Amino acid sequence: MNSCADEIYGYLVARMGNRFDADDVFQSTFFKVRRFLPSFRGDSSPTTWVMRIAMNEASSFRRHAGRELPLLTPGDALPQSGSDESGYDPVQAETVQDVAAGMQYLQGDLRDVLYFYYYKEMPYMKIAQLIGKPVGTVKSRLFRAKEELKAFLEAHRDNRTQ
Amino acid sequence: MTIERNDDELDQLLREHYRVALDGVTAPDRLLHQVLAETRLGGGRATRWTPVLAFALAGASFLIILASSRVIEVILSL
Repeated sequence: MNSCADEIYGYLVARMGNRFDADDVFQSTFFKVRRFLPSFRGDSSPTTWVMRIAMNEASSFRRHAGRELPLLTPGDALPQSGSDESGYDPVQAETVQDVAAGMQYLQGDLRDVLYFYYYKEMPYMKIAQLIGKPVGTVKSRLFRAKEELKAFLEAHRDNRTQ
Repeated sequence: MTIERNDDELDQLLREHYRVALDGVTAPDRLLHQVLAETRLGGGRATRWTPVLAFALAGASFLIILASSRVIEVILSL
């Protein structure tokens, strides 16, 4: 149960952008899991089945509520200056924070493919099966997500240098 | 001034972002306990009300049958 729960929780933190909303959606996901467990046919792994429920819950939560907090706040998991002699790069750290900010501007379905591709390192086919869309859609969502993120980062950098 | 960010750099940034934000993230124990406790409570509540509902349903059916038999009796006596 714990590895599945951790998997789902990690996804929800990435998708919702903060732990507060992730907690709420995590709870509603497992209520749904309990409710629909008798209808689980076993044609996918239990984690995949729960992940699909979590994705639906995350989508409907975002439609109904607007609360959103940054994924990375100062003092969050980001390494602090001087805390690590092995390659702490403040410019890199700042840019990583910009990426976290940029994520908030992406639609949920775009965030999903980025997460599965870059963090879970899933192949296109597996992502396609998970989200229930053709491989072409996965590729185009990945492309769009990166283009939007690139535009956000460029605009952010331009503002900073002005 | 706009500088084109190449794809490799963005790929690296995205991986770093996820590593920083999500490595070691686990579902908090209190949340797991809460979910387990509430699902158990929900199930218990439903189980507790089942006999009451069954009894109420049986009672209602009996009354309906009784009322309809009285109606038939009245109609036949006309």
